[in-house]
Amino acid sequence: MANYILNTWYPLTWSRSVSHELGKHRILGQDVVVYRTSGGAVTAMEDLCPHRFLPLSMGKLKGDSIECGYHGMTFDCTGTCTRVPGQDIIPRTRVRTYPTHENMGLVWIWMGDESLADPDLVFDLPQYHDPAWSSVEGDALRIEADYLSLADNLCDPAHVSFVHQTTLGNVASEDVPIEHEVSENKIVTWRWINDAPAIPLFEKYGNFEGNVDRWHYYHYLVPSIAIIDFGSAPTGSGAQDGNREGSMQIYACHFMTPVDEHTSIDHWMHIKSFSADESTNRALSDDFRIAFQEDKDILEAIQLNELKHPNRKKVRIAIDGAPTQMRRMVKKLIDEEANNPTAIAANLSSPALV
Amino acid sequence: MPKITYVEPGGQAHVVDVTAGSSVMQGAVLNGVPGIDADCGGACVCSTCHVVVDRSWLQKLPAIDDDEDATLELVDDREDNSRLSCQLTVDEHLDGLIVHLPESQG
Repeated sequence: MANYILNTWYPLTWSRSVSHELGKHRILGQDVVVYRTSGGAVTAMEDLCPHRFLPLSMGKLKGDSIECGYHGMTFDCTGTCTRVPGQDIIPRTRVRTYPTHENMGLVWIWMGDESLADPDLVFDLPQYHDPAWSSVEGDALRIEADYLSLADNLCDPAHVSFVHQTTLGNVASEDVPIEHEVSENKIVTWRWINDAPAIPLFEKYGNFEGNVDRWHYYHYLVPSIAIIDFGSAPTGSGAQDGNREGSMQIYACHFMTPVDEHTSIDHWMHIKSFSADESTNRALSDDFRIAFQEDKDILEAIQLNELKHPNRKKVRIAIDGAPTQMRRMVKKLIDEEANNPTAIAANLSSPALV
Repeated sequence: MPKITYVEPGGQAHVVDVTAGSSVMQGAVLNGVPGIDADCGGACVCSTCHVVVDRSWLQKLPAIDDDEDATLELVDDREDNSRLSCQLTVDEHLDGLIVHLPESQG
C-alpha cells in the first residue's frame, strides 16, 4: 500500500466538474463521493455506505442528502445518518466527510486530520487573480503512473529538449546544465539558455526577431503542485539580471491528484503575462495538450516497465538530482506525520516563486 | 600534488597524484583506476563512486552530510566507513589517503 502525506490540501478536480449530482472520485487510494449542495458548497464524503458498503455514489441525491441505492439509508452533507426507511431509531453512524475549499478553479481536499484543515493554507498564485495576466484552464489528464513519477517529470527540465521538440523545447538546451535548490517544502530546478533560438511555442506566439535569453524555473511544492515558470526575452536585454522588458512569460501550472499508486490526474492550466484572443488561447492550450500527452505516453510506458522489472535498479545520472531530493522530501514528511500526526506538511498559501 | 591510494578488492594498490580541488572520484576516473563508475558525474545522486575509507583516515575526513548519507543508503554493502568519493575534495590534508574499492558498484 502506498504512503501519502495526509495533512495537506490536494487538488481533487476542477470546480467546473462538480455540480448538484453525485460524482465518483478517487484520491490517495480512497474513494470519495463529491457533490455541490443547493447552496453551492462542495461536499466530499467517503464513498461507502456503512450498512452494506455499497458506494454512495450509486445512490441518489435527495435535496442535499445522499440516499443509498440499496436500502435508502440517508446521510446529510455532514455525513450524519438522518433516515433509515422502515424504522424509527436511527443509528448514530456517520460517514466520514473531508474538508474542501475552492481556489484557482479547483476543488481542494484535505484527507488528513480534519481539525488541521486551514483554508488559508490552500495554494494560491497571485497572478491568477491579476487582470494583467491571463489564465486558461486546461484538462484533467489521467495518467497511468504514480504521481511521484509525474512529479519526477516536473522536477526535470532536461527532458524538455528531447520530448517536447515541437512545443516547449529545442536542441539548443540539450547540454546546458541544470541547477536545483531545496528549501522547506519546496524544490526549484532551473536553467537559463541564453542567446539561443526561441522554443517553438514562443516562435509562434512571440515576435522575437533574433535569438532569445530564456529561463525555465520548475517550482515543485510538496507534495502535488508544480509551477513551471518559463519565458523568453530578446538576447542581451538583461532578463537574467531582472529586466523582463520585452519578455513573454508563462506559468504552466500542474495540480496533481494522486489517485492511487498507479494512477494520477494532472490538472493543468496556463497563466501568461500577455493577453490573447480566444482562438489564440485555444491554440496555446492545444500546444500544451500535445506536450503533456507526450509526457503521459512516456510515464505510462515507464510504469509498465517498472511493473515488469520490479527489482531492477535504475542508473542515476546528474539530472536526477532534483527528482531524488523530491522523493526524499515526500518520504521525510510522511515519516514526520507518522511520528507526529498533527504535523502539517506544507504552508503553500503564498510561495515566493521568483 | 597529493597522493591518493586506491586499493582494489584483490589487494592491488594504485597510487595516483591527484590535483588539489578535484574529487577522490575524479582522481580515479581521470587516471584510469578501475572500480569507480560515477554514473551521475559527481552530483551525489547515484552512489556508484562508493569507497571504503581506510580506518586510519576516518577521523581526518569531513563529516557525511544528509545528502551523501541518503545516497549511500543505495549501496548494498555499505560499511560504517563507506563514503562517496565524489564528495571528498582532495587537498594537502588528504595527501596519503587510502581508500578501498568495493567488489562492485551495483
